[in-house]
Amino acid sequence: MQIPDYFKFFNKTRIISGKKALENIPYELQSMDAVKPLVITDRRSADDGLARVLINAYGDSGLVIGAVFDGVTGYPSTKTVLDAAQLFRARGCDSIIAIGGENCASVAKALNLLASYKTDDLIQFESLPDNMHLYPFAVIPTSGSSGRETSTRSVIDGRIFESDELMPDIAVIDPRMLKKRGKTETVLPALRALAEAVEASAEDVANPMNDSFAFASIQLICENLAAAVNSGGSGKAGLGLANGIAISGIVWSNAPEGIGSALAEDLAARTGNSRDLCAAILLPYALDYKLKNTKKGVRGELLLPVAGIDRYCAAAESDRGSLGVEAIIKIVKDMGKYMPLTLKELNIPHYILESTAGAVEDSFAKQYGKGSAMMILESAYNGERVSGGKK
Amino acid sequence: MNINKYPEIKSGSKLIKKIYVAVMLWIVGRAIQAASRVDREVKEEFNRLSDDFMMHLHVLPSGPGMIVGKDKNGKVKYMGWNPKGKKITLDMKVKNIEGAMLMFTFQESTCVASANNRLAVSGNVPDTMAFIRILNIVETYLLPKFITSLAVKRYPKWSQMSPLRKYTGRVLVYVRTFTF
Repeated sequence: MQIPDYFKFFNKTRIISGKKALENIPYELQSMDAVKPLVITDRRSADDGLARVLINAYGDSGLVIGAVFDGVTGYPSTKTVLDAAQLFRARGCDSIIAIGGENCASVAKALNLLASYKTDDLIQFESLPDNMHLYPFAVIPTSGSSGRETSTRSVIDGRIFESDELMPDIAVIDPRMLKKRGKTETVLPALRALAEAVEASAEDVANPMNDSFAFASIQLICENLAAAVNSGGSGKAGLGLANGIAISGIVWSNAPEGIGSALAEDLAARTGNSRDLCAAILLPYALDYKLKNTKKGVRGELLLPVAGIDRYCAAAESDRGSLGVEAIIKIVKDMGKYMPLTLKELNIPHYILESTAGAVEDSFAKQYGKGSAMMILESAYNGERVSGGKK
Repeated sequence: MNINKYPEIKSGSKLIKKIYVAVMLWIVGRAIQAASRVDREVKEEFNRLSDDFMMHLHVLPSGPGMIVGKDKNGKVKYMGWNPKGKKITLDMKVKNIEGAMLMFTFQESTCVASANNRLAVSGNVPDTMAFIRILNIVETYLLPKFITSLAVKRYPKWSQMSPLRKYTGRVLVYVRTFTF
């Protein structure tokens, strides 16, 4: 196992997963001296009855839920955060529970900043220290969560707020909260989480702690993806997938952003397509590029969580990297029934690809070589394997 | 924003589940007392525990619970549910009523429940382990094999508990549990 000269790993999230996991929330919050949470969720989760499941789980705890705020929309805005903060203060809450995906978690994290510092000015938090004292915060991922719920980041009105302390204290993954969703809704966040976990375990940014988390995340996603898609993200496979996705958020938070994630992020912002979709499409091409055109290539260890111990042991050491990439390409291709596989299918004009490449290029030129971003985007646009280098 | 749109929500009550667990705890508590008089192994386990041993197994946040401990004469007694005025040496807390239901409906054995972090224990680890062993023996007496197998890690083999010992013990434990 390689160990870098210097590394840092941080995780403050306790993951509680499985049968009746929700019932632990009152105990866990009470152990942090919190007795009255505000629940943040979106309309869809509320309509699915997820808030009701949580309320039932609170039965017999003797505690009070401040309110269930279901005003989170597809675009988390400052107005939503301010509304939630007003409610938080009016009800005298002392903790936050977010039910749902990235948007609900983003609003809850931003709300935590406002509530903890007793202010309504979100702008002052654009640069955050890592030693803040925030209210206890629990997140309950649902089907379609992308993993960013457990991350250090909150995005409100396009502004990024980032701090280690923004990670939730608890992530509760309960099968009752994983309702059946559409196949595409299950595939896209899972592939985005996979992309981020794979990039975070790249050789040049890896450390032993993050590797172990990334290994678990990649393995859980690869093992459960196909079955979870068939079950609409619910059931045992859905639970495995949700765990893998939740862990990916921790992994992502402990590594610098990879070229695939950065391209997906920028492309999504420019085109209005979802980040999940862009990341899912770009994953195989970014990996393929890395394998063929960078000095270090792709780590051979990737094959182990993706394909399993038998295939890993059967492969020659020098082939493991490329086989790992091939296995991931196959996983994405198999999901082609539920998602577009090229940027062309999204009707993205070429000038946007150039703008995205231009914006991302500078940060990665040294590591990946000049023109790398455009090459990945071109390949993803045409659906052709990346040409070049070693193999 | 209209705050009244988002009312406060009081947690409900799970009375039936609480009653069920309370009854189970009462039976188990009484059965432990009975088994300590009837079964050699249970007796030995208790002998190895300190003279002031007092175990409180209860469900958070507000019960039900049971207390089993040694009295002044060193006899094992079921001491009800109220810990007031008692010096608890081993405090076993089930974190919520649903966790207790999983345990007492035998969907999860004590070991699995511990592994699933459904219990919080304050006290000595050896005392806890001894108590779990006692609980396993008592469950073997109280319940038929197909249920006990779900509740304990390993159902005792013939060599560990002969049918004669099991059935005589079962009758005696039941008689003592429900009579005196």
